[in-house]
Amino acid sequence: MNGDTVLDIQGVTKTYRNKRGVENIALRVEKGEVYGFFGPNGAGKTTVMKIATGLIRADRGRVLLFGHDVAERYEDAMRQVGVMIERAEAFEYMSGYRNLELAARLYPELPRSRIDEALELVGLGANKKEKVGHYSLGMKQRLGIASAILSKPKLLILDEPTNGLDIEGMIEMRELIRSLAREEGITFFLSSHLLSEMETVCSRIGIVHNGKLIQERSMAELGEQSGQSLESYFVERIRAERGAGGHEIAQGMHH
Amino acid sequence: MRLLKACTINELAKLTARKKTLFFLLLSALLPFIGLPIVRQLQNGLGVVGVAQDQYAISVLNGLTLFLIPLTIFMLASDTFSGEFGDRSIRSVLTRPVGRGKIFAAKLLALFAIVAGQLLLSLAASSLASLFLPSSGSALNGLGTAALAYAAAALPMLTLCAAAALVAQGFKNASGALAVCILLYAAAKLVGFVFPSYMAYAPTSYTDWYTLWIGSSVSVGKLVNVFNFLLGCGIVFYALGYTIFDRKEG
Repeated sequence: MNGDTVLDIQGVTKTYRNKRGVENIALRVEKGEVYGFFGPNGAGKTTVMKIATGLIRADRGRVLLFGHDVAERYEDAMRQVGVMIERAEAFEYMSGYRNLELAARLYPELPRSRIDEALELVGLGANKKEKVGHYSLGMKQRLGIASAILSKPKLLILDEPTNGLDIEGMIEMRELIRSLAREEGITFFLSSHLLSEMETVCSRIGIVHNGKLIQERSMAELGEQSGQSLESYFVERIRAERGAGGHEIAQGMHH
Repeated sequence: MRLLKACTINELAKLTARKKTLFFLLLSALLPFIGLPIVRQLQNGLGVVGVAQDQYAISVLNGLTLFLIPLTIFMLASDTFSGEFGDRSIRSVLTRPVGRGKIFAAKLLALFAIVAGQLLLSLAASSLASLFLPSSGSALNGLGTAALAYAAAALPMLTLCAAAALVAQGFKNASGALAVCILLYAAAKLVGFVFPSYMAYAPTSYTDWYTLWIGSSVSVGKLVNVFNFLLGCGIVFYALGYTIFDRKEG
């Protein structure tokens, strides 16, 4: 691992009781990258992200965050990481502000003014005193993002960040990710099953299918060398992986 | 230590943000006043020898440790150890730079803080309410004894918190966990009555161990035995509960 590797997933395997899971996933995310973890629903994206953030344990392999093993040195590993896995979940009987206040208390150096700043950034400033139970799905998703960026992390791990957002919300979210990456140098490891999202936001993608990482490619490489769209590249990879059934899967991913 | 403190404050903030927690705290404070007319009615109307002023707080404690506090513990433990996993809000806690050991400890500490609050509120309220009962002996002595009994009652309640944390984690939702906690507690109590010889082995049999502290002849040997037993059970429940919590999928 070199000094610029922020996330290092080393041969991670996890098999659930229903025999699904992920197998021998290995990838690195370097500082400043927006790494897109791309694949159909059920491919294993969330499982890898859960393992990377310590929510579940891998059967084999390990994950290093900023050089610290997530399974062994959790607090050190997570100190500079912001996370949102699947749906954004918050305590519904508390206001948006109070939810973030709980999180802020765990970062002693963080000024309280950062709570308002994070809420404003995702457009929830006016709703901060409402109970989260009264929020719409999109508002909850925004709160999840605010919670993830609250501590000014250097790495953001976001699982399907635009889930539940309307078109306008999706565009805003993509803008937010791009500006955080560009202006604040935040590294991203984000998953999506939407081709359009990957194409517009990511600098590199890893394609996951049936629990395996089948290909990694930078967006620049994809455009310059092959002139292919991500969709056609994806279909080609899936076909190579499992025969001619790939196109139907790809159709499901196109927004 | 700083993180454990912050986590405990967070857990307390969550518990006290729920209306039911406040309701049960309030009920603990009102219970002595709710019981007062019943006791007075028994004494005045029926001529039954009821509860004297210096014993009233102890009588209230009996009801508190048998029903109200266990129910509060089961309810809050179900919410915090099972409900948060069920609705996945636990993820917003688990994905922070805080180890699961601290989170588990903080949840138990916050739960126990609510119990301690119930005991304190009820002690103050029952001491106040007892002023309306006929005096028998020194009021100050009565208060001292009551304070000792309430403090002693905290230990079996702490053990019960650890037991509830362990049981609640076996369920995917809070309501299932609550129902089973109550059933197990009722069953343990019932077994104690039906088979008294088994009572010594059930930690639930000692919810009233404070009576050992306030008798006229306190047996130090028995106190030490029960203390060790409750502490031992508490440690075992805590260790098992933490092991499950540490491996539980978030």
